[in-house]
Amino acid sequence: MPKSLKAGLQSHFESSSLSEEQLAALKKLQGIQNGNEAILSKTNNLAAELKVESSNAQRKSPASFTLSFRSLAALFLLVSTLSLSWWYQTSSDVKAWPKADAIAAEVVYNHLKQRPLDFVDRELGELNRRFSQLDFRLQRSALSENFQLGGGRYCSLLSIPAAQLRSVQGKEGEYETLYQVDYRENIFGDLPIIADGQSAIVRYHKGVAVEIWVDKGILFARTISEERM
Amino acid sequence: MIDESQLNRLYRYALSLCAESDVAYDLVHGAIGRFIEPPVPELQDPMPYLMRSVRNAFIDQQRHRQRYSHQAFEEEQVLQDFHLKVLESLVIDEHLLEQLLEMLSAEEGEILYLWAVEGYSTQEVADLLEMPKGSLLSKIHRLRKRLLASEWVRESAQGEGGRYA
Repeated sequence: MPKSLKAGLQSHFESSSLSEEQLAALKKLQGIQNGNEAILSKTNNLAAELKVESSNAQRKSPASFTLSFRSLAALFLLVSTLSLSWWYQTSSDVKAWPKADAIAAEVVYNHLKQRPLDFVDRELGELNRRFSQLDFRLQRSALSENFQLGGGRYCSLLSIPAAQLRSVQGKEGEYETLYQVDYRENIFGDLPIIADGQSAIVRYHKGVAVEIWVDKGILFARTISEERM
Repeated sequence: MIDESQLNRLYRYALSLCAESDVAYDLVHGAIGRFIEPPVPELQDPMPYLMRSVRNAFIDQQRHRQRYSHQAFEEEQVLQDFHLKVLESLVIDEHLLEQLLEMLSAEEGEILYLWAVEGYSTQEVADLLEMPKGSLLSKIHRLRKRLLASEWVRESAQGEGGRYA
């Protein structure tokens, strides 16, 4: 029975909707945020109350004002010393591996997302055949030998096309993510090269540890499951 | 809070882009996740913002997979009278609709969705797709030609001769 294209499209799309489970998950996602906002607003209120109390105390007694001034000065000195020492320690590291944190952040973000895999296969050779759009070959590396391959999906790292490989899930549902991408120094900066005797570096993001290294011209970034910690 | 009907609207829009329910859900989930990250934008109607977010994520995904290609825009093909309304006179056998949608590119499916389901005007579609109105008119022109060439879609008897309403 012919129908106007417009009416046909309307009934076609309106017959599709999110499942109850998907709706519940999306509502929960928003609920978490509402909870965070409540915490934030509580924190702000608390901060405002403390501010009022502190200004009242200063008005009441000159002695307490002197005391709080000394405490503040001491606190300032302590914070400055700690900050300087932290900056001294980390600046050389940041200089050495300038993109490591950005790489870890992107890997962890996608690791936690657990998007559907494009290919489910345990064989690296087979995955190499399937990842036909990549301009590099997936590689084995000494540091990824115990990675139990489960499949992979197309992804990117700092906007460079990459393979996101996922391990098979362990008994308790834990899994690891291993990124492989053509190592371009101008994009990824200096990173430790295993063949030069350097060790992989570890960066943390959102509580997840990521090992990063370069081997056979490929940048590897692998999350570390609690089991391997 | 984005309510159920808005979530479903967003899902259908995502579906018009990718035609895969899992991917569409993933796009919606990503858009909501980004939307609620502080600072949450204070918008009277969050839907245009969320739809753009779904669209950008979809294009990013496709670029990564090197499947999304912007067709070259040819200025001389712009015909001002190829307004979205020229699609109003088209009819199709309902059972062929699914096949038709499979034949279309993501962008064509999106234009049809915004026109038929969301009821957007040509200017509103052009704004959402972030393209000049002239480019959109050109795409509608090509889309209409493609639809009619498919033989699944035809002009209604009433529509013939009155295309440029």
